[in-house]
Amino acid sequence: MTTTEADPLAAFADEARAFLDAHAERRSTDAVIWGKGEDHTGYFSEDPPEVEQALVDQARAWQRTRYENGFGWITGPEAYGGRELSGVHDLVYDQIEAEYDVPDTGVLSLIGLGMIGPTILSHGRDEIKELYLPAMFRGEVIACQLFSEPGAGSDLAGVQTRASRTEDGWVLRGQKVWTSVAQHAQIGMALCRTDPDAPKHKGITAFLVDLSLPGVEVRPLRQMSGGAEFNEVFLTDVHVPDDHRLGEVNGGWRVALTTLMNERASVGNEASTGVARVLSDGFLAALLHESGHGEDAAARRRLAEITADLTAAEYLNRATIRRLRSGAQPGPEASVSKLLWAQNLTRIAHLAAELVGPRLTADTGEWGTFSWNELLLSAPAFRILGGTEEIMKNILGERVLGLPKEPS
Amino acid sequence: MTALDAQTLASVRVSLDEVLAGTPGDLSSALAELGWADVVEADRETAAVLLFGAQGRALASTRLLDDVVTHALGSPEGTVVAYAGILLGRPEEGTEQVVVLDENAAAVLPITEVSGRLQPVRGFDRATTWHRLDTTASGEPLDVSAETLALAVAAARRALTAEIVGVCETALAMAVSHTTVRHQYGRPLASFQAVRHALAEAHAAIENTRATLEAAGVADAPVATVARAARVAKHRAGTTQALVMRHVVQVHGAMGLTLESDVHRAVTRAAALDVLLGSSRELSTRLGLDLLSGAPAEPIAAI
Repeated sequence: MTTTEADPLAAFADEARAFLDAHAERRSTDAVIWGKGEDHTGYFSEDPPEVEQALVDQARAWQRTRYENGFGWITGPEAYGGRELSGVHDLVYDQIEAEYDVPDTGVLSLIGLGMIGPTILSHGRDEIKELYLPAMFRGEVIACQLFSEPGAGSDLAGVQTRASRTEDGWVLRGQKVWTSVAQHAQIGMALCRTDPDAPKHKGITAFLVDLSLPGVEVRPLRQMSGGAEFNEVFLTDVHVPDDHRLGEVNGGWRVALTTLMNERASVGNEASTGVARVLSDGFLAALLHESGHGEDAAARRRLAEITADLTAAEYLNRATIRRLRSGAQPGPEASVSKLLWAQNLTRIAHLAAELVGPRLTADTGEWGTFSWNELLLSAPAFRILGGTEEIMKNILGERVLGLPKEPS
Repeated sequence: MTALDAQTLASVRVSLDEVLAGTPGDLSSALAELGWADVVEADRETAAVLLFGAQGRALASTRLLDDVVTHALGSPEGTVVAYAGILLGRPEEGTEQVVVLDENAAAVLPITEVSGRLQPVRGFDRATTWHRLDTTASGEPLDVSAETLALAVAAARRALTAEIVGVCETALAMAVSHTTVRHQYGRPLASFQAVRHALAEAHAAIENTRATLEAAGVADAPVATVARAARVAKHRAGTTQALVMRHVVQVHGAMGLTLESDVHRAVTRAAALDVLLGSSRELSTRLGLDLLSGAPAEPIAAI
């Protein structure tokens, strides 16, 4: 990257550092030490509800602090509390913030700010943007995706939740499922069937649903990896005003695509704390040593292959982020990142499982052994969430390689 | 990332593809006509990625890699390179010396000591112009610093990575075209998910290696980092070509096994290039040892 064009950025970077110095501690550089710190490798939270609630509160508070100091929505329009700066500014801020020990704001940012925010901005009415966008970026409103249903997973356009016209709006009736962060969310973006007679992609409308409305019920789903990160959401005669519609009536598929493209772009490069650690070269090298495989040539080569692939995936993500942040629309190439991310985490889980052996299944109390079961049991989810591996490959085959369509 | 704008890059790419698909004898004059020296002058790394990508796509066999190495080593005109005993072509008239290059050492031999010791390589890639220098040739150690040597090996590995990526692109394009045209059960092969998923995987591997190559080309990093990034890139190129060729051959069915189809040209070329300056297997062994001995594995900052 050339430094000549960095001057306007330098002032911004200084401002960001001053803000972070005043509000956070620098991250200690020896964060990755075997045997120290929390013994977790999982992607999904396994904390008891009160701990999880405390983490969400911290996330909200930190996002509010960012917002009040001008770093809550760096690229957003000023009218809704943004700074109207470039994607590069956003990237610079993220890089600098990574040097500090600050709360993980994933519960807000991955879905709400990363996917629903851009969708509201593109497809919402002005009064809806005013109502929700500043509140979302201030950390007050968490948003979730009410997309998948028991009968509509990969075939998302098959959603059956009905939205019927009333005098002043719509009444929603149906069931959503696999809804991440719904237990913390204030609003959800729902895809509903508004014309059952139209071809399936042309009879869908998107709505923002206030989850405190009567008729909304959120039930947690417990996973084999522990924790209950996602939910079933039941919508029983929920009255939604028409101004909460996103996009045109029966134009919801186009709205959903905005969300989905942003989803794939973000899934490939997110890192929860447990996962961030297992993705680090130093931690994996320590695992080899500590499990007695430091001299095992085959294990060493597998470690090298995995870390080379992690490095490669990181480069690809950076290239994608660079393009996105300089204004490009997320495209099908984000599916490549999503695929590789899932494959790499799965390979790490399997390597770790082999290295720690039986200690993976029985908790001996030894640090860094049993905890790998979290990653192993989370791994299948990586190949499903945000679009299954099979769907990603279909997208790449059709939209990037230009292969003929499957018969429908 | 580069001094060359997107439009220039695109047109250079097209011109290079034409040049490298042409007759190999005219290569240097064709490149001169293209104004190649100016492109190299503007951005040497990008120029190399473009040039070797085109060479890979064209499945061309040239001695262009020698230029990368001799420039990095500061060798005089009239120098050709042996990559652990492999010369990419028979040295032409006027060649004065041969540099024998390895990961950790470089030696130099006068051409007079080389001429009688060269044999064409009769490997399974029949289309190369490669020659083997017999192993008794040792020569004098070349007078360069360890850093210069490491940077030369890294530059050559990046060029080879670009070439392997190019070969993979060509192979994947063959597979896309074959599976689109050929019908079974009344529909194109590529409309079957087993086939499209294999090709999608190949595509993902290629794009990932391309990103790695781009990041490895960042110049202002410590020598050890540049060397490691080039090892990672060449290693990835090796594993990528293995995966791409496996899928590409498979979706060609029996046709991919014969000399009637062009697929074998990509398969054998990619496998041959994988071996030059460290196969993916050798490189993963080295990367693994480095990791466990605590060598810093920080990726190059590439934002």
